[in-house]
Formats: sequence, structure tokens, C-alpha cells
Amino acid sequence: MNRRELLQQMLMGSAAAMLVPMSLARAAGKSDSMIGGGSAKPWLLGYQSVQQNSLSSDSLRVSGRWPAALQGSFYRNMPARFERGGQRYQHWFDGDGMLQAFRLNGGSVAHHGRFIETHKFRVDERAGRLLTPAFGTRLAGMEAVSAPDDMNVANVSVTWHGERLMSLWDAGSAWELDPRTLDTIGPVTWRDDLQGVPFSAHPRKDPDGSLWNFGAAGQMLVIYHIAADGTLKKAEGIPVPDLPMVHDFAVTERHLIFLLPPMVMEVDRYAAGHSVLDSYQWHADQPMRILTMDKNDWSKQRWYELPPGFVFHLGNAWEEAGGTIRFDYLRYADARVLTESFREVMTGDYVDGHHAQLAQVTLYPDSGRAEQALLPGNCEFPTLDPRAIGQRQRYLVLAEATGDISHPGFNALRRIDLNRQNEQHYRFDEGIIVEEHLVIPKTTDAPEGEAWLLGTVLDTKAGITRLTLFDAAHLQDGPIAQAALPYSLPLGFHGHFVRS
Amino acid sequence: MRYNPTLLRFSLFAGTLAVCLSAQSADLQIDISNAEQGNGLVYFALYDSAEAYAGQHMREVAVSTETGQLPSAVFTGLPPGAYAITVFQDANANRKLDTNLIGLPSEPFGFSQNAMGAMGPPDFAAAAVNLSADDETQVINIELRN
Repeated sequence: MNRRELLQQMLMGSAAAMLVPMSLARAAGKSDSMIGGGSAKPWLLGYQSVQQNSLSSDSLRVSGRWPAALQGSFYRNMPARFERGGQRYQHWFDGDGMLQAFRLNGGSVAHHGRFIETHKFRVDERAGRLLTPAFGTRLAGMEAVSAPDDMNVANVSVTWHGERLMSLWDAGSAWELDPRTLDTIGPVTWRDDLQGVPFSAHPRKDPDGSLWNFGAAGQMLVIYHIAADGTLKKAEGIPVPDLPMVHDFAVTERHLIFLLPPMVMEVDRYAAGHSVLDSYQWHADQPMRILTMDKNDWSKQRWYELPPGFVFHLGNAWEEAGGTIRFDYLRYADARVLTESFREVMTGDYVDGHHAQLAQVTLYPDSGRAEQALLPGNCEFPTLDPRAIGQRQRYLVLAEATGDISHPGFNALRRIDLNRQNEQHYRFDEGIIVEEHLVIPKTTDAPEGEAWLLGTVLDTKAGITRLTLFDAAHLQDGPIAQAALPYSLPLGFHGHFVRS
Repeated sequence: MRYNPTLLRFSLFAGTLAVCLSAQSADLQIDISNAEQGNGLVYFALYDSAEAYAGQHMREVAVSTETGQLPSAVFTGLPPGAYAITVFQDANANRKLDTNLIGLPSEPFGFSQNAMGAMGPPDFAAAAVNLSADDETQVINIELRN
């Protein structure tokens, strides 16, 4: 065979590979070179694995005006490895967590990212294949797991509390990392009997610096209250019937608020071989339940009901003088965003996802009545001034999918002024996927609203990830500063800023 | 699964009785293949039916001794039949399997057939070992998890 024939054969071979139907690749649970590489769907870049175990770039290409006062570490968490041994996860939430650290220092930005070495990461890495099931993937031949932490990929969010940097997941232990090197230290055990007990990914900080969190396991909602210095004040398991998947919660001055969508785990389905995700069953005829709990006495509970709906994130909550509670959340009509959209992004089958609207809820404790009003717009990733958690705040920032959008995720930012009932928007250029943007007060005592918005975007045309910084008061003017990585990162979930 | 010391003594007594009474019998030896040395004694519980297993009514209990070797136990004089064995390593020497707030073992544990449950212990059938009258001594391995 001469060189030309060889070349021709190779080209034909790759063309043949391109014709393998996507559904076939999916059915086999196989990765396919085409997944993540298609030029017709440049957004697939956001669901590609990071091949190296660490990434770093000492000096990002910066543009615009980076404020000298904005100094610290911006951490972001994300699923970043989706394949091993020729098999690909079937759900976006399954990938191994990778923590990204952007070090902001007087106008220069450095990046360092490391995979979080959970038990699952280590056993899968050693085996060279997807040895154990993940939340949304359970393939034939996978080993059984004996505890939630066997599936923990620590990929949802990150927090800094009591001088500890912790990567968080929904249904397992917090995983501690060295804040400087991002070396994995290991799972956090708050108390002996809390070893391996879930510690969720959206802890909320009170004005006194203490941290509230929960973990959902079986029919038990475990509540945590952690002092500002990182020591455990109290933790207890509260039985909750038909406890669904719970991703987030909210706090007011006096209460904890949980939204419980009608999605119930059926253990028989798990025993029959389904993934954890597929073991949940949606009950369209049942309400979204709301549970409020007194912060000082967790047995003082009240229940409310809303029409059926699904939720990942709550914005903020507060209470008025008469005891009326108000909060907002991102409401989906049902759970198909989780059960369908986030699977379709993994195979490239995604066309149009299921979106959430901002719902503003009022709870009247005297009558037990709950009311909700929906705001138009497809939104997610609510953020606010961290100093306003639990109190009536003025602004809420959201990522929004607006106009003719051709990719999963979001293409705009939106900032709602709850006092004036008006809002600002900024829409990114075509091909740019915007992720969560955090609200960072310009100084620790700046009034609410004098803030920066800091986050990331995936530029699918340039094939890179960028940090973007906005002046919150002038969102519509676009980013005041950017920093471009020389590579792209997968699309992520949540971040945390630690001021230095 | 909790191991009550009173129940343990009773079970040991019942086990002794069983040895004397059975005519046709065999022995069952359980070797632990991966116990961390110096991390406490290993407790072995033997169940002889699905009902006994579900109700945590042990037929016999054995405790490994620290010999410098991997933990092992032998149940002798067992009538032919199906048996399930549960084990745990008592790292803090309190003679019970400690569990966390949500009921998951916080000490190393295991089941015969290295059976694994689905969000709970495996059922008796999955963990059962069949002992026939011909088996003079049947040897099985259990790998501790956690």
C-alpha cells in the first residue's frame, strides 16, 4: 500500500466512524470520538473531559480594567472527567470533580486546576475504567457500592469555612483540599457518628459567621450548624417522609426552608439495577412540599404546599415583622431537566432543554397558605450579596437563556432590583456560554449594590474559557475586565470567592 | 446490625448445644482476606435461615483472636443447610458494630459471598453459603468493606 492509499483508507475509516449512529454509541455506554468534537455542535466542548490530572497557567491574557482591590482566590467546581476505559458517563452530574482556582492579584490572574481525589476517583483511576456506578450511570459489570461516599465525586460546589477549603457534593461527605496546592486532604468528619453522612453543596452563612447545612439520606434530613471557627455546634437527623433529592435550601433570621419536589426514591428500582437517578420516580399529581424548621428548635416544623414542580436552587429568604416568610427559587414544571436534558448534553442529542422560571413565594404561617408568582425568563444559578443571606436583599443575579439560543446553558446575565421592580440584562455574543457569576461587594462594608460580578464563560468559537468581571450597577455595559485561559474548561456548577 | 452482648452469650451457648445434638455435620471456616492488623477483633455471626437473618437471631457468634495473622473463625458441627455470615471489625473495642447517624456501618464489615445490598444489607439468599454433609470443612473468604 502506498502512502496515498494508506491516507485514503484512514480517511475512509474516520468517515465510517462518523456514521456510527449516536444512539448506538449511547446504548453501548461507549465514548465516541465524535462526542465532544462535532463542529455542528460546538457547545459539546463544555462536556469534554480534561485529560490531564492538573492544569495550570501562570499568567492569563487579561484585558479591560481589573480593579487592584479585587484580590483573592476564585474557586469553581465542575465535573471534568466523563470517560474511562472506552466508557462514557450517561449523565452530566457523574463526572469526577475538578476544582479550579483563579488567583487574582492586582490585575494579574493565574489559574490552577486539580482533580479532587475522592475514593471513587482513586479506585476508577487505578482500575482504568468506570469501576463503580455514579449518580446517573450504572452499567453492567460495575461493582456494587456500600456507602454514599463510594459514589461521591465532589463536583458540585466549593466553600471556605473555618480555614478549610471543601469541595461539596449533594449526597456525601465534604472533601477537604489544600487551598494553596489543591492537594486532596480527604473527607471531612464533623463528629464520629457523622462519618460518611451527606453534607450538601449549598451551605448558607448567617450574619454571625456560623454555617447552616443539611444532608439528605434515605428518609432522614440531617441538619448541621457549624460555628464560625469551623467546629460543629449541633447536628441531628430529622425524619422526613418521602424525602426526595434535595439540592439546596434557604435560611431566614429564624427558620430553615426546604423545598421537597414530588420525586421519591424507590429502593426496589435500585435493587433491580437502575441508577440512583432512575430509581427516583416523579409524581405529577403530588404537590411540591415546603418544610420550615425553627433554627433554635428543629422539632418546631411547619408544612406548606405548592403546585407540583422541581427545583435545584433557591435564591434568598427572609421574614417580615408579622412572621410572613418570603423566598424565591428557580422552578421547573417537572424533573425532565434532570432526567432528560442533562443526559442529552452527554450524547449530543440535546436540542432544547427544560428551563426554570424565577418563582417568588410567600408563606403565611397563621393560615398555612403558600402563594407563588412566576417571573418570565428562563433562568438558573441565582446569586446575591453574601452579606444579605437570610435578610431582605435588594438585588438578585441570574444566568439567563434568552432569544434564539442554540446551546445548553445560558447566554445572558440578569440582575433584578427587587425594590424598584426593574432589571438589567447583558447578552453575550453568539457561541459564548455564560456560567454562574458571584456577587462580590467592592469592599467588605460597601452598601449592597456596590459590587462586582465575577464568573466564567466558555467561548465555544475560540475554544477557551474566560473569567468575566462586571460592575454590578452597570451590568448592561458588559464586562469591565476579562482574563482568557489558553485552554477551555468543561462547564461547571458553583464557585466561591475568598478575599485575601 | 447491632450485636448485643447478652444475645452473644446466649448464642454461644445455643451453638454449643447445637454441636452436641447434630449427628451429621460439617465445619465452616471463614477467613478474612483484608483486615487491617491492630484495628481490633473481628466478630463473626452465623445465621441459619432467612427468618433468623432478618430478625438478627444469630445461631452462633465467634470472635477472632489477635494472632498476627489475618482473622479467621471456624463454626463446627453444623447440620447441612444454607448459612449466612456477617462480620465486622471492632476498631474501638466496644463489642458492637458502630453506625453513623444514618445507620451506615462506620467500622469495616462484610457478608458471606461478599454479597452487597442495595442501599441496605444484602438479603439472605445473596449471602448464603450451602454446606453439605460431605463438607468436612468448607473454607470461605470474606473481604471487609469500608
